[in-house]
Amino acid sequence: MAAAAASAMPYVGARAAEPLLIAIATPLTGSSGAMGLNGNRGAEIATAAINAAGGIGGRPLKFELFDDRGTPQDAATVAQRIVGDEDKYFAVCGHVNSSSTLAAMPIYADAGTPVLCPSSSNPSITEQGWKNFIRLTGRDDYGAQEYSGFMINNLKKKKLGIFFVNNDFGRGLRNEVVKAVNVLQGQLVAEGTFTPNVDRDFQPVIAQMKAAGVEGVMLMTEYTEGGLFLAQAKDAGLTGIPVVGPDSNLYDKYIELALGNAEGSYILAAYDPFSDSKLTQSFLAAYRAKYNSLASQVAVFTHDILWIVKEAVEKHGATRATLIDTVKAMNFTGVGGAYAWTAKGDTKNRTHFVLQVKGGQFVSTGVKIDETGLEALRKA
Amino acid sequence: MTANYLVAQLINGLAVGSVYALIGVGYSMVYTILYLINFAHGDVIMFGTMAALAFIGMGVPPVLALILGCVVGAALGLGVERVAYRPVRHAPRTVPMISALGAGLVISSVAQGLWGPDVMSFPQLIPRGTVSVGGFSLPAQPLVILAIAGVLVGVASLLLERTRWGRATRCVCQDLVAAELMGIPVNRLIPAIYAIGGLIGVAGCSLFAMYFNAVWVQMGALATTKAWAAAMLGGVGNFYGAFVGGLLLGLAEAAAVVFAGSLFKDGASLVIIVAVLLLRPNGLFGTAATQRS
Repeated sequence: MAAAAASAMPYVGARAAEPLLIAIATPLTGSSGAMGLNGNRGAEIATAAINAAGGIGGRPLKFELFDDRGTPQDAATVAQRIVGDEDKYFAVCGHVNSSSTLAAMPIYADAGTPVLCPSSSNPSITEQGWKNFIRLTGRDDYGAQEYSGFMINNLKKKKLGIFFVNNDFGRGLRNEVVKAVNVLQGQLVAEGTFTPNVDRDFQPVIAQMKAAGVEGVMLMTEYTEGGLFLAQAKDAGLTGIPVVGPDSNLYDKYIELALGNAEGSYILAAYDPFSDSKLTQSFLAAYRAKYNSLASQVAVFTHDILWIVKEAVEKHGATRATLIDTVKAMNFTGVGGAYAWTAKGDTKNRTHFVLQVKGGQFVSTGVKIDETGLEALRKA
Repeated sequence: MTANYLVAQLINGLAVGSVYALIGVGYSMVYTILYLINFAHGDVIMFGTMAALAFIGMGVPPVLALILGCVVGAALGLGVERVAYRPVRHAPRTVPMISALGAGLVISSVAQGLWGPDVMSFPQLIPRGTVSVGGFSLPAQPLVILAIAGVLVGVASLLLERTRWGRATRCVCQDLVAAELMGIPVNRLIPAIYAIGGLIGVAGCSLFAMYFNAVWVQMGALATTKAWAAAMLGGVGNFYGAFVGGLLLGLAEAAAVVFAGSLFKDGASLVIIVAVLLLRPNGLFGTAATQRS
């Protein structure tokens, strides 16, 4: 009895308190399943550290996982289940895929549930006027400008092909890439899309790109299809040209599935896994020690969200009702760098980091993206 | 549009189509005899392919592992017949369909439990890259896949045409009750058909996995749509029909990409199928399925 009490010492105050529950809504199965897995891992590391530091406002932190399978249908179901428990959950951390977030948000908005989103980047999400939402990743309109600027200004390739996933994330990116490429006087000469989770045959698109003589490929995909596309491209002899994609490809699986053809391809990441920051490096080291892989953007942002909640509650006295407004007014530095938010809930003053696959792993290039000519798109 | 581009698309279409055909044969055979869509088929062949991958992972030589995977598929086919079909054989037709659907869900859940939800890479047993044929630079792997699929279909059709077993199967197709009255061992033949469907299906699914370098738990669902569509197009009840239907579906998909863009790949090819079925409800090569009611 005495021993049990002693071992529970750090939580003496917290033990009486109910745990503070966060619902993490994320794809645990399906073709973006690894994103959810990464989110789960990031959350585990954060939760252990937060609880070791006394929990959140004296309450132990706990999270529960909800699998939205990366599809809007399941995301809506998950959202119903979460809000169905009234205010059992202090906040939602989710979803990952933009289509899922777009499908689930109206349900959370009606219920007034605060949502902190790690990685849905479709621009329209923060244009709907939802007051209960912030996100940590950048917007795709900005991302698309960066990817295009890098391909056209830095790599000097103008005749481009684009391959994009046919969901809100991919279509949004594609539309923004079209605008940016036009402004930068590049040319999109071949375009292909696919249904995630279903299509696996990319040969027809690859043949099209080859026939059009593309000089570079904008790979606006998630890691599974990104990797498979490159493997099939090798087959058809579409090799030796630069490939640029967002950090939804920043997974070991991308390199594995590409069968060697991911070598040399560029990933423009919304956080810098090679930053000098001690916070970043100690998290990445802990993550690697525990899971033997690179922490993805979803892992980092999920981790940071839990710490943001802690700071909002402890330093600024946020409640469930005031959480989002409190966070919008905060400046927070986490593993993913420094964050500040606009009134809409987008992050501001963040940039992309150019990584490349070399020797079968992701490395930093240290290259700065040349943004010449993009000013025209950024006035609004 | 260069000639090389068109020929490369043609080869891709034929290779994908031949894989649809191998998978579709299992549906077609069961449907012909029992008027039943075996909804477990997709999951059976997924499981066999996953098993082949697991055997390779254990160090079994790849070709042997693939054969073992086919055997697993055949055994699972037998199991589905025994557990989900035979006990409800005389029930209304929706009952065995639902029980097959249930069996498929069980199989896919077990697969996910064993191997996880991630897409896995499949060892490239057929070299990738391009070869030069008649002045065209063509992808090598689809050519090999097309050849293997052709051989498999050839062997299967020889079995069906030339052996006692094959003749008995065709009798059962024509009239199950009369065949039973004539002393054909229907209770041995039906499981055999499930098993053969599983065996050929796993072969097709493994080629599919190799071609796309991907194995995942939901890949069975793709089989249920594409391969079934291929079997319908060719005409269920005709072994060659399923094969030709598969090739045509593959070609239709490639054509849709060439002329309408990849966004329309599935839509355009399914429109073609609907159009064919409107004109020929029994499929291109189907014998009138109404001869038996």
